[in-house]
Amino acid sequence: MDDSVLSTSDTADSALVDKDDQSLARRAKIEREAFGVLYERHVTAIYRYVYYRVGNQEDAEDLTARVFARALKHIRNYNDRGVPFTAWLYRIAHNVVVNHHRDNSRHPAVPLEEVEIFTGQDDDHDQRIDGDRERNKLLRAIRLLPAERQHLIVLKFVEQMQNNEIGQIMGRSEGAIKSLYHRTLLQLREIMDDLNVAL
Amino acid sequence: MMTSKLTQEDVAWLESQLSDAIDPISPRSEFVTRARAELMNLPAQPALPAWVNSAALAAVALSLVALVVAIFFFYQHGRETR
Repeated sequence: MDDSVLSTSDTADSALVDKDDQSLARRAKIEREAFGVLYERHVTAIYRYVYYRVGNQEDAEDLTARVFARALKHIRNYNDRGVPFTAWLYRIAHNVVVNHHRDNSRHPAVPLEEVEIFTGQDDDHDQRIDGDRERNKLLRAIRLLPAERQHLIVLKFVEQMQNNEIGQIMGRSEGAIKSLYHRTLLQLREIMDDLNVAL
Repeated sequence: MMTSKLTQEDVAWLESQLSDAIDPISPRSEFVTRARAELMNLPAQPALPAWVNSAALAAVALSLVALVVAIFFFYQHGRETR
């Protein structure tokens, strides 16, 4: 008896897991477990996005939890009009991060350079320090980019998305993303040059 | 305005730097589990009664009508005083 209940429940869960985001989002309006599946599917991507925007694990966890709490609160307002569910989630994440930066403008977040960095098993200490310094400079430069360009960098290099996928998330054409990417690299190099002068 | 250009070598160098610098980090599993449990236990938001939407729409429509009437009234009044 218990086994049959368990297998029925498992079947229900696997049925949810097999569904696409849009179907789950519709079901999540009335069924909390469907939202749980959406959470599991997207929590890592949203965490990464937030992490590279705020630069530390503690805030990234706190803000990621807020993103999903807000998404759950407003899931009834989500309308599938050809916009991917992830685009809706990223928009919430963007707003949560912007609010966080505004609220903490007098108390800036811990910069990325203070985050512990995994450096592998390199024995050459000096070389490792130089490498870490370069990496931290680049991460700092990324955080000095406008929000939209940071988003693009995260989607491209963390989520390994193609331009057409990024376009769907950001609501732009593939060509517009290609152009934005080029301008982003250009600005990134300029910021890095400025940081080199400042150091 | 930016006037400098990126060569293919610049793009390749920047992309390799970005690939090296950005790790596909993952959230701690404890956090993922805890946050999920908290989400599942959040109190459900009560749905707004159906009349709220209708009332809001009616209020907006009424305001627009009032605005149009007011503009029309002042327009006519202005013409009469000229």
